Amino acid sequence: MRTRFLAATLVLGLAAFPAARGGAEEFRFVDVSAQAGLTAPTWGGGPAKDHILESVGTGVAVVDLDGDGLLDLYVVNAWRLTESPSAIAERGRNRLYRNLGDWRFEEVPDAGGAADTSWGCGVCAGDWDGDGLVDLYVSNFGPNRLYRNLGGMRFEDVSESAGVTDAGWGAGCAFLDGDGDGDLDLYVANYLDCTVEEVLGARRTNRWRERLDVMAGPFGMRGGRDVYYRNDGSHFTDATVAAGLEDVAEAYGLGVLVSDLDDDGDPDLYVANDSNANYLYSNRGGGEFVETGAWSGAGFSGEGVAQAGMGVDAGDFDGDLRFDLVVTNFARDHCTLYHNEGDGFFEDVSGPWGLKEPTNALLSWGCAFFDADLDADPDLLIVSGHIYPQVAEEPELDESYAQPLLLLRNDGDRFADVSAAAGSGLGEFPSRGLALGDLDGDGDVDAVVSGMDVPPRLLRNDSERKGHWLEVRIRDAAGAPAIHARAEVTAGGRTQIGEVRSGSTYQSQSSFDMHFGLGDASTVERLAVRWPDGSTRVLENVAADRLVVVEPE
Amino acid sequence: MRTKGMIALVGLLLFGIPGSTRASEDIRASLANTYEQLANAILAIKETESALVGTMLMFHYESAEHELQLAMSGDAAAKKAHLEAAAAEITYLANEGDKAVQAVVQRMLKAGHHHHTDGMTREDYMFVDSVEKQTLLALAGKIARMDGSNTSEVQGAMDELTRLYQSAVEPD
Repeated sequence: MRTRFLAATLVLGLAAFPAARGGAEEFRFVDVSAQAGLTAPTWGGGPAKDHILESVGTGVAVVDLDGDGLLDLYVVNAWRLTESPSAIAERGRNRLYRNLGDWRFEEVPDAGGAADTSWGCGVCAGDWDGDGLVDLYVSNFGPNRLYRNLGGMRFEDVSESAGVTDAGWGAGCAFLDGDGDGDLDLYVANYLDCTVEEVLGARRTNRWRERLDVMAGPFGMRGGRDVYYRNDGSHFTDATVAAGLEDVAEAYGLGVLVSDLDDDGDPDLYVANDSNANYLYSNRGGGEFVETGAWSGAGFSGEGVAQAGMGVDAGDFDGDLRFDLVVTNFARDHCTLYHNEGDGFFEDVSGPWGLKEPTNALLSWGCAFFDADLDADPDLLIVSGHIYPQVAEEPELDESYAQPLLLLRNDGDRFADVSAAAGSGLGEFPSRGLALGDLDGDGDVDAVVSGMDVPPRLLRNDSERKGHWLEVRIRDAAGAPAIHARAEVTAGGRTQIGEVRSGSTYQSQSSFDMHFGLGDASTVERLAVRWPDGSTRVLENVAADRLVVVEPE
Repeated sequence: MRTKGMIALVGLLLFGIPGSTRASEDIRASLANTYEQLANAILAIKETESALVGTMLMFHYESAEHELQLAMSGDAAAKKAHLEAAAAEITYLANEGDKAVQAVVQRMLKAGHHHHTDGMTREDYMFVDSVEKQTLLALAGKIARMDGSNTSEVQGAMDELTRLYQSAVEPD
């Protein structure tokens, strides 16, 4: 048993409880983009943003793509447009950066074959073909791309043969085993229908706060229909209608989250819709979903209002062992925190948990729960940026195009805004995508934020350590990240949950590794892992401050 | 501007260039008469739209009521399915139409065709105001949480639904 345990579980000891690099600050995030070599901008159309396509930005992935144990970066890019006349100036290419360690990144030529020059939007990752290597799916304005990982940072575009191109305006996406057959299916949110000609010919015909001429939409534009592809082995089949996922409302889909929200062992699906009610698709087993957003409490704000959903993430912020939701929304409306009440029901607790006031002025996109200070509860990072660059011309509006990143500390019964004292890395930025991961392997969670017409911001977490930590990497039988696997970590008498996810936040892919702050506990009393096929493993008395890799028996 | 020009052109083709005083008066009368007919058509369309949306509300109300009645009979699994179906119908009532209808409404908004908005999200409703919508959504959630074993609880929800529906459709 002991031999099998050792063979199946590789325990990598890492730095034990090092002191914070930054000194006295409780939270400190440092922008290390330039030193890491992330200097290439991600484009988002022209300076004036005449069309809504020029507003939604691009995503980023933080994934170990070459299997060396270090998290690499994949940055989606769009196009640069000129104004007067509006024309294509540059078709930006997606970029892949190999992590060399110690905050050094090396750009992989041609992104290893994944340097698509389409107008890129989102990215998600997963081993759809079961070969143990993590593949990439990139949603575009135009045909999407599926990049099969060939190993050694080489990728093959198999979009056409796999049948997942979908020529719409793709946004958030995620791999999921929707039908429980052991392979990964794929969900792609589509934002709205329009053409390149409409983008280039757009004029700013909307009035913002009765002062500024700004881009039109999305209201009045025809929404795109989301797509669900069932994996049939070497090919995908459009099973949107058969699975009960038909987007008949033609809602403006953006953020996609896959999580077992009702804890019944299969993945549910949440879609943040701009200007429409959000969808919650409850997985009823056998590949059948039922849309429960409107009556579950998760589709509208607590006031019964459809908000302008952008990004979404799930985390158990109150320690009741259920995944709660955070959804980012438009400016002059708050981000929404949904408490999971169990059995698929949610309650908007944005007010009592302190989210309304700090988020109301911001136009927010990426969002993610993570334990920034290792005190054993998840904090919250939200990144924002206005879609109308014209707001900078009117100081009286008191709005800015680039907006501060928001770090909300979990105080047990309320989130407190600690951004102002969290370092210059959280300063104003025209943010869109957000992906998290321990990029330097030091036991805390770093972040990458994609921006509009600027290079991504790479944030090193130098926050004060308030406790120990544990990172958990769960693999499937092929050695790939076991998407949908769930971990329960009990330390110091407190239990936390995590889940291996594809997609989420905003058009982005965070690391598959789970990270848990442990507070004072230097040992994890119990680490219980449940794979999507129902199999389980329990490890006891696991030393803290290390990465634990758990494989199926 | 282009529209005005087209209207002027159509007017000239229909009525000719004004010449005598009599011809001018004929044109004025024809214009007013045509506009009155157009107004009648517009008002008839608005009444038709109102009647259609009212029919939708009635349909979703009666569908929800039917599902609730079914939930009060049948086995446990069927009860739950009927309660969820009732909850879905009530959300359609709250939103003045199902998702396909909501997509249509969304497209009409851009053209300026709306009735009243709640001032926050540009959602547009003819009968159900924001308070009624919130109350209906809460009722839908309450019904979806039921297991159907308590018949009086389901009956109470049905009574509440009837009260909310009547409140929504009665003239303000």
